[in-house]
Amino acid sequence: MSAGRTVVIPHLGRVEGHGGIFVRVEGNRVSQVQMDIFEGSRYYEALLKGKHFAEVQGIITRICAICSASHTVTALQALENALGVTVSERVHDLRGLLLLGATIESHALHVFALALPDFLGFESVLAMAQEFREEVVFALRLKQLGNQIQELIGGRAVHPINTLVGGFGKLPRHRDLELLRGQLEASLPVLDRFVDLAASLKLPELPQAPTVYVALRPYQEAFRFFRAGVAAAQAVLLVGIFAVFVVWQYRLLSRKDGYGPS
Amino acid sequence: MENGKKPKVGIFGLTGCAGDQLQILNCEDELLWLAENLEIVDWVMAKADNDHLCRLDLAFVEGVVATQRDLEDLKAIRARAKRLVGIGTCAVWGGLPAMQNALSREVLQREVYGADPSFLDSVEALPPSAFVPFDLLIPGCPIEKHEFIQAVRSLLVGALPELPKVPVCWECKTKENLCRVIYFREVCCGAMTRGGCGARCPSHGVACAGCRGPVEEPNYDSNITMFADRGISWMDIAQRLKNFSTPLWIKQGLEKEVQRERR
Repeated sequence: MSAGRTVVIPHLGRVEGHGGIFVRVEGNRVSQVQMDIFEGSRYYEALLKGKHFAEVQGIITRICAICSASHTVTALQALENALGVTVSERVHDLRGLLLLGATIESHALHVFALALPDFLGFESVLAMAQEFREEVVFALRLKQLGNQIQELIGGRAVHPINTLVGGFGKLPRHRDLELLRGQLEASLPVLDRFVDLAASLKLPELPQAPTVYVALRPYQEAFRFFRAGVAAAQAVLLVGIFAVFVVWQYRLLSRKDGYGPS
Repeated sequence: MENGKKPKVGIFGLTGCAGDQLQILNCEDELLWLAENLEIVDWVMAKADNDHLCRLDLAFVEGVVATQRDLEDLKAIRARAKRLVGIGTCAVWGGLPAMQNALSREVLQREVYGADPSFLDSVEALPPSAFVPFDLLIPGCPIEKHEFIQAVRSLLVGALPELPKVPVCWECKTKENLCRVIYFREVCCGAMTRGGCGARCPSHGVACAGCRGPVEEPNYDSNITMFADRGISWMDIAQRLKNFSTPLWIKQGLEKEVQRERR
């Protein structure tokens, strides 16, 4: 038997969802990788059949709790396309803001509670709080701000209820939005310290495939999740990059030196 | 709890969206207090170094049983936990994953995956409360943060919290909302749904979807009359009402009344 190792993580921790991984290493070559996704099937597509269109958002949002805002907005846009409904700029902006709130919450959760403990040698954010209480309190505050944006616009952070075909049940008050903006801006200086912390982290040495980065052209020069267009010239460039990428990946996968499936 | 030591706690998710576990993490103001008062030894979603075997004083479970593995995991949790608490409508009533329980898994798999994938471990989605006895069941989709914190406070002193006995309808009137049924003639489940959410949806101009499951004594007969008087058929309301608690409807023999013809 060669110098082989087996790495098994039956239930991957600190992610949303259920999965495990099995890795077999022979010498310095990975010979086998298996992922075991034992997440139960819930058949959401089938659940929708026969439902009234106004119920769709409330069902689809429950695919996932952390990204329920994304499922909601996607469902609403699909319904509006199907029904030929056009929404106002304000509705687009508020939905974008809802998604940004969800992103802040989700990323704060991931970075500070799920990933950072590993880098600093703690088994959880709660254990980390023993030594880094101030930092954890700040991280939780940032996460909370993301949730408060979602609560203000979506009515609730997990599974929004205020988000409807055509717009919203109740519009947020201007002064509530201003209050949130003030709190977010106040958190920026402390966030700088976290950027420094993140920059100081030692990342493990891992072989990496050369990466092709693809991005959307921003709509009206702002960071947005939708209505981002691709200008014609850039489209050609992106198609070109994509074609090169496909050919190069094909060649990579055909290699016999252990990089890629055997 | 016992001997003045912190109770050993496990938090688990079966098949679900993880929303109730996320709500625990969403108690940002109380999270450090929770850590100081509970010894969370098994929570795969939030920590590494989990003890999957030790005895637990308290176990929280969210989600439905939708796979064989879910059932095995649930039984193992019940066996090792002194107190078992179900969190979320899925755990209590079955929730959305159970919505089409009248259809077989084969039909659902064909509709979604286009074939009968035999490798899928997929069983009829039922609430864990249908398989093992629970000490406490907290509905909500997701659970209310304040109900979770209150439950923990009660459990820490060896007591069980009381669930609200009023329907959402009562909370809605307390907020002086215009009634979605009487004023807007909408299909609103509030009169038959367990309160505790503060009638959040009607307060945003949206009819109650019944996500917290049925209230005690929903009084369907009077509700049928009230809706009929406003031109809303029982079929319309039942279609909405059963979404989050279909297993109960099937058990009561009501499912065939509301199963619409599917394409």
